[in-house]
Amino acid sequence: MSLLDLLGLSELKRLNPRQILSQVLNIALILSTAFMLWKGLSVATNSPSPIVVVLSGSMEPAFQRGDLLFLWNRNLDLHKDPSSFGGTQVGEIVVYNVGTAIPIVHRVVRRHQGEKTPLNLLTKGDNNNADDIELYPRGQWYLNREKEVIGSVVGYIPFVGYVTIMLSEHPWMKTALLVIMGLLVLVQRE
Amino acid sequence: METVPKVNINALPALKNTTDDMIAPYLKSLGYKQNHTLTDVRLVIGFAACAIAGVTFYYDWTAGFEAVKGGTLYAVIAYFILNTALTFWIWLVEGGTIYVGEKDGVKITISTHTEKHSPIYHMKITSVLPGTSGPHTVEEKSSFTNWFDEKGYFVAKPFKAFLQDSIPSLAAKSPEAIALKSKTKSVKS
Repeated sequence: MSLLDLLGLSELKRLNPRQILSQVLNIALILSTAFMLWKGLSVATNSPSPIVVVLSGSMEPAFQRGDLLFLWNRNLDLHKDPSSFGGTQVGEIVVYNVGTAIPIVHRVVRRHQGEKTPLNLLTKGDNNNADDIELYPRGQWYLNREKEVIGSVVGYIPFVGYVTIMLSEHPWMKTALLVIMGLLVLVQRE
Repeated sequence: METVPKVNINALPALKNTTDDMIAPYLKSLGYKQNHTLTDVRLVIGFAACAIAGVTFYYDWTAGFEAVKGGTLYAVIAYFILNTALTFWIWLVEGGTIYVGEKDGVKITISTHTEKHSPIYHMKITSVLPGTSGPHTVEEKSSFTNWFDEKGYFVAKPFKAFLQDSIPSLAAKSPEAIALKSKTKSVKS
């Protein structure tokens, strides 16, 4: 009893089971709506991660650390007539995932068809001296557009992603934020 | 043993919610049987939506986005249909209803609301009496100051009197109601 009072949650003691379930539902709906909006965006863009934050300076001056990028992954056009050879073009900026912990945002500098894969890309960071072959798995000289690239950058908002950098570099902030938001939802009945 | 709730008297939602919470126990003590259908339907729709999101999360987490994206599409559609249904239910069907109950064939539905920056409790009571045609609706309003003291403690007696005064089928002419009728500034509208 005293613990709830200290936390300013003494109101909870008066709630009946249906009211408690309603409060739990409120929290669950906030979390699930955020998750399903994210998944809806994923399905719409065909990208497992349709919004990413730039974590390094390798694409400066195009993108700074903390920029928020919007991806689109329906521009594959893999099996078009080879003479037209559609899909991701040289100069586009793509985000790829080759087993490293975090996805990498770099520009396409070369593209070609492989024997087994219809569209392969070579990428390079604008601010890097060398291309990305070093970053690919050992013995691999290209990116498989279909399997390894999670989308092309189609839009960005500067700086706003810095919040997530702060949160991931200082995990206690994330915990504190979640706890505070949870308590607010629990206490407020609006 | 009933504890007397204390609220922050500057917070309108706290005043309204606390007052709302007092109605069901009082009507129960008078022999009314509460009907929870509205709340239960809301909970079922809401938790069904959350279950869909939970299953989606599980498969997305374990199998990966690419493997399950076909199913994810349908889950997202189903989730937002349920969410829309829930919003519809809360706004158009429940519409501020905080009590539905029945006693001796008399069915009453009470919905309440407050307006921004105004300490007035608005109550709409719809009663269906056996043998009459159609529901009978009355709207009452009264200031929260009538049943919260200056420290924010809820005072049951004047509030019960307000209810007895407002709900037609409760007009049992109890001494409480008559004695406090002049004090509670209820306005018929």
